[in-house]
Amino acid sequence: MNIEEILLDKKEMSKIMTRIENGDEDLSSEILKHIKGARIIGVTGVPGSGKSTLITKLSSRLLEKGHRIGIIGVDPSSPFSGGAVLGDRVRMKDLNRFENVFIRSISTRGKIGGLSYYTADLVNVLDAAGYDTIFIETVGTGQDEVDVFNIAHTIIVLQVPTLGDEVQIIKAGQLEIGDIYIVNKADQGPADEKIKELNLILKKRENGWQPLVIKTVAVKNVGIEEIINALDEHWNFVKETGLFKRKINSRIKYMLKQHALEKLDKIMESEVVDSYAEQIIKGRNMHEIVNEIINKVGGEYGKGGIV
Amino acid sequence: MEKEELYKEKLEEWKKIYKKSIESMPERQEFKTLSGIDLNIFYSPLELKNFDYFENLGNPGQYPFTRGIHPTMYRSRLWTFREFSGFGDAIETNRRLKYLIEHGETGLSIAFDYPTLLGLDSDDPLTKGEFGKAGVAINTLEDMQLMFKDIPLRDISTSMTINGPAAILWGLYILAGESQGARRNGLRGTIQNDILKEYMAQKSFIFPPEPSLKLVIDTIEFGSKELPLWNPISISGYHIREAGATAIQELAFTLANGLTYVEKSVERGLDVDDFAPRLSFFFDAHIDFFEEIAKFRAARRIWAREIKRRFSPRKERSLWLRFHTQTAGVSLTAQQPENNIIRTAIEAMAAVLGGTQSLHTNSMDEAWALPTEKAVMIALRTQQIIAEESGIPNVVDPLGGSYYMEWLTDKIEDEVYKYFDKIDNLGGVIKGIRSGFFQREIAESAYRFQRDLEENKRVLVGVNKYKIDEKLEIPILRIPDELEDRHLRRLKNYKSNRDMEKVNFALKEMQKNADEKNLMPYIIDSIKAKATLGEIVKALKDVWGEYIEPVIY
Amino acid sequence: MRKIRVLIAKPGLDGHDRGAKVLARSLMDEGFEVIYTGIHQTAEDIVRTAIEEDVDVIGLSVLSGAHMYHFRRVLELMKENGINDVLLIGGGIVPEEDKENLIKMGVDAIFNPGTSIQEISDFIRKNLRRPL
Repeated sequence: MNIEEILLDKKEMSKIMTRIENGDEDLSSEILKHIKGARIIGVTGVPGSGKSTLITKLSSRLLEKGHRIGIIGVDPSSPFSGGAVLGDRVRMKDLNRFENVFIRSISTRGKIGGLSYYTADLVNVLDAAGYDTIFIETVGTGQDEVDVFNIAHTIIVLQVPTLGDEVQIIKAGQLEIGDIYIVNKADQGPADEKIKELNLILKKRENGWQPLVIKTVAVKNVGIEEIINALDEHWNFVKETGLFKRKINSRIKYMLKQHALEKLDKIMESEVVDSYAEQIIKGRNMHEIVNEIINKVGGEYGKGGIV
Repeated sequence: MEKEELYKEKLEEWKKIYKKSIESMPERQEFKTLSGIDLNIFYSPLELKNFDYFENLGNPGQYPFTRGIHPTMYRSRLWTFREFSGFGDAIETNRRLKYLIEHGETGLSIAFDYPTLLGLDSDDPLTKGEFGKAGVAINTLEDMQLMFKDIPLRDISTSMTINGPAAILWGLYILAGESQGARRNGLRGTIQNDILKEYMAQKSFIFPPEPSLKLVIDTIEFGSKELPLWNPISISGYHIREAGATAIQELAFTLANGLTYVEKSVERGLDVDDFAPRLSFFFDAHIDFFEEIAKFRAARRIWAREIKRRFSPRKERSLWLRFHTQTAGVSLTAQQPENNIIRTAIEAMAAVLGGTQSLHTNSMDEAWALPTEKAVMIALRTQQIIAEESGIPNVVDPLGGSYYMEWLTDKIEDEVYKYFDKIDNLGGVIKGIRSGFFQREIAESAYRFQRDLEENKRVLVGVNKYKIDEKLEIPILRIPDELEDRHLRRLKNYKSNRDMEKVNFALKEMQKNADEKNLMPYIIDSIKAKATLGEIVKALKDVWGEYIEPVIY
Repeated sequence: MRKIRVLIAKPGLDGHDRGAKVLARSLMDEGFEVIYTGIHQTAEDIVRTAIEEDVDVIGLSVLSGAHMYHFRRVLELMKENGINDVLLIGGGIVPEEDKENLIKMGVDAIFNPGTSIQEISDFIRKNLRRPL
């Protein structure tokens, strides 16, 4: 049976995702051959800004229009135990009435940047399985969540009028990555001020896109249609300007980097490093050691070989 | 303080003896209350330097009511003994209620099943498997009338544990009463109707917090005008505590909720003296004896002070914190269940020493089953022994003036005010609920308690110490299928014998006025048009939406 | 070693989520990845989530007394969907007689109140149906 047929079965697809999340690179490369070019939408914003609710509302609308929706929700892992509680589904319960949606919750498994090492690979699985619109909900704890920029065609940045800018924009550095800015929970604070402020700050991007600012009350479905239109507008822009191709390229490059990094991080977290530390103190050349570590990435720690 | 130097000097002397003593016999552990308050080895006047009898205590029945709201307390009247009932359908519950009345109960207490608590009719597919389990299913006016058939609502007082759809169940009760010829202004009883704690702890909410709160204020307003003898709300810490909160959190969150209801009612234009005297509270009595007593004393004092400071009532009654207490369900263990009798007795004593107005003592098997008759009797006897044999009720607030008790009461009060500040900074109770503040605080305490158990820092007798090999005997209450069948047939019949145009008209009128007017008359009109509980709730969901809680663990 | 994934769900209408939440967090401390779905889940929701999240364990918490109905329904749907490598465990207030029946029906374990987290996580590790 070929892989596209297997992917038709949700249970089998889910198992493929598990294998990929655990580092099966052969499977990752096989999947990559089958991607179809789904629209990928990243959703980012601090906790409490309403990411899950917004994704749920947008998905409901798109599902009604006949789309197939994939959702990946990322939550942080515990730095102490490596475990995680993944709770994005609590607010997505409404989507259970649709057949054509697949939700997967993942943990960052120690990675910083807002995604896990293999998020891009999991997006590929959904893409290959024919989910034409894929949402990625980033962690949202906000220090430096720009990884999603490498994968998503469109990035939605959520803000709420009730939280100060210092929390929402400056720390997260998100003024640079968004295509659509949402001021959510507009009924709970000075939303119009926030919108004015955003419109003032947000300049046309180098690629020619002027970021849009939209006011919403997602729980009450206010502004959802506007976002759907904005998404379509941006999607046309992506396809017309050649951004689409460039994004596939950056997604693959990002994937490669993450696979390499994952192995490097594993090595750096293992006991091997202790002996290197000793060697450096004893005077061994730094350059030599770094080369040795990089060789290890390709060697015993290679191909799906997790220590 | 007089003789302060002397106390200090003696303390220094004592420290020397103490030091010597712990060298040979070190202390066994850290000493904290159940809520985590660090304890000294003893308390003395040094800890009560700012103590002022009239400022801090006052005589019983005098401001700030720390010692009790009545001058005579239990000398005139003992607290009310109360136990729950309700399961299956209306007819079965009616049988049970009549039995209780025959045996001398004058106050009824009704528990509802989960579908009813969530405003769902029993024919809703979501309710499968839940019919009549934790209480009675009531969907229609006919159900309510059957539940109280041959029970004169004019003479009896009824307490209903209902929150999300409280306004509707109350409407059903009012109409059931009127169909017996009982007038509204003579009906007596309580609806729990405390929606804020549902979002914090108990989780039987339906609509988002803002419209839910509006509906509660509707009932308070309606009650103050039409049912002056009814308690329209029982502001409950019990569920907050049972969900894992500490005593301090229980008190702080409950009082903050209470103050929110008062504030919103005053904003509505009600005179505080028209409704504040009818507000009542409901607390948990947990196993840390002294901490619980201090909690009840602090509760009265804080409430009186805050109501006076914020709302300046003219009637003294408006300052009273009247409360019902239930012993802690979570403190009971499935292991060696007889031990629960002892736990409940300690907790009941704390409630009485804390000056409760009424008390429910848990039966030893109550935490996991509908209690057996014998277990219920022991629970009731526990109260009677305290009341009639122990001598505890002879003197009002007998622990008042104890250095430890007064220090602990002050300490709890201080900590509660710290939470008040936090809640104010968050922008009030509703904002705190929406941001998950309370849920996080409670989850954190529950988690910490579990960790302490796992690490054996805290002992539960029979669970992590003094275990025995035993088979857990949990009696089973089976709800016979025919009760559900009978109920569903009745519901179907009710729905097919009515004028749908009238139903729809009444529901539409209610929807149109949902945000602007007091909904009670519209709810009552909908019930008169034969709309069911589920239909009324559904119509309001269409206007207000349903609440999905923030993700907190 | 791969991560063990556990679904913690509350079927039915009762809102007593204290135990479910404490367990979710404690299992995280044990290094598990816990998918927490919140209260008021239907059996359909639960089994669908189990499939999409590819979990090793489904843990249900029921305190309403409606455990027989909910467990039976989840088992039925697991069977319908050909799920046979996932552990089904439960917690809450379950009488001995019901517990025996549930085990006969195919539930792997029922943990009574007072069970330590250690006991639960040990059970999961020892009884996993899939290789680690």
